[in-house]
Formats: sequence, structure tokens, C-alpha cells
Amino acid sequence: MKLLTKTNYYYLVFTSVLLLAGAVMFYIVIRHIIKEEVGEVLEHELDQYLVKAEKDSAWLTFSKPIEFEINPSQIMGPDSFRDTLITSDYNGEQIPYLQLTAYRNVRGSLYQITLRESLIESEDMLLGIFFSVLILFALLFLGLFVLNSQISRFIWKPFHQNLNSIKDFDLNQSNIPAPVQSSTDEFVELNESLQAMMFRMKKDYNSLKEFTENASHETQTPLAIIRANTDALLQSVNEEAHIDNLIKIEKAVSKLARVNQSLLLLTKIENNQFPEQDSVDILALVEQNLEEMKEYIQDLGLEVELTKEEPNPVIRINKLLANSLISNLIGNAIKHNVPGGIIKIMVSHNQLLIENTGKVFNENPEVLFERFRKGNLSTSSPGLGLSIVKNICDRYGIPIRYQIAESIHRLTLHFV
Amino acid sequence: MKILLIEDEADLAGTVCHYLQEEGNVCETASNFEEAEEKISLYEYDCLLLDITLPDGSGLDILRSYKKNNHSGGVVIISAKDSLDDKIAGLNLGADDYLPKPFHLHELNARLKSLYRRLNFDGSSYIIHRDIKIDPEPKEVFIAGKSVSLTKKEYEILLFFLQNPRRVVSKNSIAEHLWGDHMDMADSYDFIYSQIKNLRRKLNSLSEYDYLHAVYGVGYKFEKD
Repeated sequence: MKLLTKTNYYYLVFTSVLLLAGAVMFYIVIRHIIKEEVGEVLEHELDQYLVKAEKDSAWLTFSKPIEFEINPSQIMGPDSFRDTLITSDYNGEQIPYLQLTAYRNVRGSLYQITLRESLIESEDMLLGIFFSVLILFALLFLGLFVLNSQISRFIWKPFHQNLNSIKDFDLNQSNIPAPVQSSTDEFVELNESLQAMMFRMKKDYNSLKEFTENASHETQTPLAIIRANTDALLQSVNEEAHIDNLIKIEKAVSKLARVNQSLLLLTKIENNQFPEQDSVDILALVEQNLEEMKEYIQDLGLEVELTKEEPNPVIRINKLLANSLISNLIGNAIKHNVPGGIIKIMVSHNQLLIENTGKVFNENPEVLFERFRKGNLSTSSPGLGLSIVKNICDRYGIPIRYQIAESIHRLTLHFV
Repeated sequence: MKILLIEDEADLAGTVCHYLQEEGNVCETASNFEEAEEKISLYEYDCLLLDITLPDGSGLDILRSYKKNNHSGGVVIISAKDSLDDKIAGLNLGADDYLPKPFHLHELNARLKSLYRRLNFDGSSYIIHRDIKIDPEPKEVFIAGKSVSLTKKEYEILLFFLQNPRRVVSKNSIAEHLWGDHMDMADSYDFIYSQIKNLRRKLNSLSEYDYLHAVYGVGYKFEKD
């Protein structure tokens, strides 16, 4: 839920409760005041009447329908106010009255005097006031709502702009986005923290990359020394046990060298160190790689089916990376195949599909794109080939999918 | 062949130089930029083996001035900076070859020999070893005068052995030589084994000599001592 919707929701609930409670309270208070007023009027009328009746006994028989009655009484009682409903003569409507019943001694005799005052006008007034207040509250709420939305849109604008630039932020590529300035303290603080965080991230990431590069680079020379000396020793050592040791060293060096080379390549792709682009015919590259591997494929007894569909896919890509991409894909299909297996390659103008028979793999095959992830733990390959493939694809925005059905592995690249 | 090895890592320089001398070359070393420049100005070499990262300068600068002064020798870059852009920069500046560290000594030797052959092209382009004759241009191989048809990889293996005929060559160095950039193929030992088996059969069925001997546990040697 959006922040604005959320605040508006709470506003609505709160204002409704307030409005309801306020209206009820208002009603009760006004009603009370009106009754008080009418009561005072009745008491005043009674006093005036009594003054007149003391002077002139004719008033003792005075009567006014509904509003005034005087009757002789046997008993004495306190003054009392009472609400009563009286049916109107001309339209039969029930009209509310306030009734004051008083007992007084007038000219030596006891009388019960009843005065009534219609509350109908006051009731109308009350309703009028009540609805006015209601409308006022409603308008207030509506106004607040509109104002709030407008202000929010205005105030949150820099926030949304910054949010968008953060969304587009790619640690690998872009620079840290400059924030849109805002006069809101909270946003300023947020911007500052985000900037600091991104800066730190970028720095950490760069030093990590640098470390990978330096570590790989600095390892090459010692590896070269080990390898050269192993080669030299292999010429002269005759003892079987020592030869075994040397061969083990040689294999380890070879593996390490390959890991290094792959890591360096990955770092360089990430560092965007291959800016040149050429138009590369993918089909030609596939055929060239297959030709290069021909004897190896034959030796393993693999069968290759190449399906071509005109026109050839020609994409803008760095030549070296394109070769790395295709040779890794084909190498992968060869290496992780089964004896007597099949490699199916389909090339069309917007797609490259490579399918090979292989081992069953029960996890999500996309994890094989991760560094050092191997489908088959027993192979000596370090598991960087597909990371390189994925990195190159990501660099050029080529969507790549890895699917495994039964024991058929399928990699699909889409060229746009 | 007179070689100048420009390499700051003494342990590597020593081993490489010793190996090259065993192969019948004259090898001198320079451990920094200054020493290299000095030796180049004083002597003429058939080939420079050049490391890019030197403590007091870049090997690329040496290459630049070497080419500017019209030296006739070849240049092979040996670099730990296995960056393809370095390779391209080096080759663009006129280097003849590029060998990333860590390299096999046999590989270095093979590269030097083919470079030497290219630089000293004297009319006969054949590679001849006892009764083996290779015409590199159409990639034709003759054993005792008879033509043999080899697969591409068999041909490459034969050439590699002819450049290191009396050396013990490990399967690993053959694999790395064959696959080059396809670094992940380098553990295809079974393939190497079957290629060499075929090659040996083809060679020895025609030749009076006995080529390609397995050396226990290690690899192969083209000729017995």
C-alpha cells in the first residue's frame, strides 16, 4: 500500500470517528442549551403571569390552548419540567413541547399552572446546525485529502526521482547517481546515507575486483616458475615415484593456471575492458569451433547435428569475447556429454540453441551459471566456463536460458 | 640462436635460460628495463623474450624502441598480464608471438623454433627430420618419400614433437599446445593418447626409425637418446 493511501486511510478513520463523536456531542450540547433557554422562557412567563394574576383576578380563568392552563389544586408540589408530544390540530403531526408544571398560591387559593412551549423551531434549528457542522466536517476532510495528495506529490517528488536512479544503479557499470536535492530533512538524511552506502559498496566492490585481478596476476609468475622447473626436472628424473610427484605438481599447476585465467577474464569482462565491437557471424564462429574440435568430438564418439536457418545471426560483439562465448558453449557440450552422446546445435537469425546429452541434474540448472558451480563434481574443470558465458551474455544483453529435461541439457541464447 | 631473455623474476629466468642453452641456443638475461635497453644497444639478438611488467618500466616500451631502431630479431612476449588487450597491443607493436605465463618450456621452445624458421626463410620451407619431411604450407607430410595423410591435430602434435625431438614432453604440455585458447579442454588426456597412438602407427609403418616413445607416467619422447 502506498504511503499516501495509508495516511489517507488513517485520516479517514480518525476523521470519521471524530466527526461522529463531534456531531453527537454538538447535538447533545445544543439541545441542552435550547431546553435550558426554553425552560427559562417558561419560568419568565410564569412569573409575569403571577404578577398579573395578583393584580387582576380575571387572569385566574385565563387559558390559551396547549400553551397555558390553570386549574385549582388540592395538593402542593415542586415545579417540574417535562418533555411531551402533542398532536397538532391542523395537520395531525406530533409536535414536541416542553412543559412546566408549577403549584402556586394565588390570592389565597392553590392552583396548578401548566405552561407549554413548542420546541419545533428549536428542533429545526438544531437539525440545521447539525447538518451544517456535518457538511463543514466533510468539506474539511475532503480539502485535507486533496491538499495532502498535492503536497505529498510535490514533497515526495525528489524521493521518487532518487528511488528511480537507485533502481537503475548497477554496481558494475554506472557511477554513483547524483541525488536530486530536497529541502526535507529526512530526505536529505536518507540521500546522504544512501550516497555514503553506495560509495562504500562501490569501493568494496572495486577493491574486491582489484584483489581478484591482482591475486590472479601475481600468481601467474610463481606458477610459471613451478611449471618451468617441473618441465626441467621431468627431463632428468628417472625414479618412478618422483615422476608421479612431478606429474601431480604439473596437473595442479595447470588447473590453477586455468582458474586464474578464467577469473582474470571474468574480472575483465566485468570491468568492461573489451570495449571494441565488431559484427560477428555467430554461425561462422560455431562452425569454426566445431572444426577445431572435430577430432576430439570424433574421438569421444559424439554425434553433432547442426541445423542452420537463413539468415545467419550477425551480432555486435567483441570478437574475442564472442569466440570465448562460443568455444565455452561448445566445449561445455562436449565435456559434459556421455559416451556416444549427441550434440544438437540450431542456429537461426535470432537464436542459438545448443543441446547435449548429459547427466541428470536435479537442481535448477541456472545455478550452474554461478562461479565454481559444477553439475558433475568429479570433473577436474573448475566450473567457470558457464560463468564466463553468462557474464558475456549479460554484458551484451543477450538473454540466456539453461533447461534440463531428463538428461538433455539445453542452452538457448536469444539475439535481438 | 641468440636470445635475450628480459625477465625480472630470477628463478624463472634461470630455468628458462638453462633450458634454452640445452637446446643449443645462446641465452642472455636482463632483469630490468635499463639492463635490457643497454644489452639491446650493444648486441644484436635473433630473438627477444620479453616480459611486459618490469620493475622499472614496461616491456611494451622496449618493444616500441626495438622496432623503431629497425632491429631484425624477433620478439616473443611472455607475460603474466594475460590480458588479451596486452596481447593485441604487443602484436600491434610488432611482436611476433605472445605466450602467457605460466608456459611450458616445450611450448616456448616450439614457438621460438617456428619464429626462427619464419625469420630465416631461406628458400626451402621444408621441415626435415631424418626421413620425415614436412611442407608447412599445404601441411603435407612425407615419410621416407611417401605422402602420409594426418588429421589436423596429428599434424600439430607431430610438429610440436619435431620442435622438441629429444625432450620428454608431458601430456599436459601437448594438451595445452593443442587447445591453446580452449583452456578447459586441457585435461583431454585420453584424446591425446589416441591421437598419439594413431600418429605413431602412421609414422612407424613407413619409417625405418622408431618414433614416439611413451615415457612412464609422464608423456612421450619423440626420439630415444
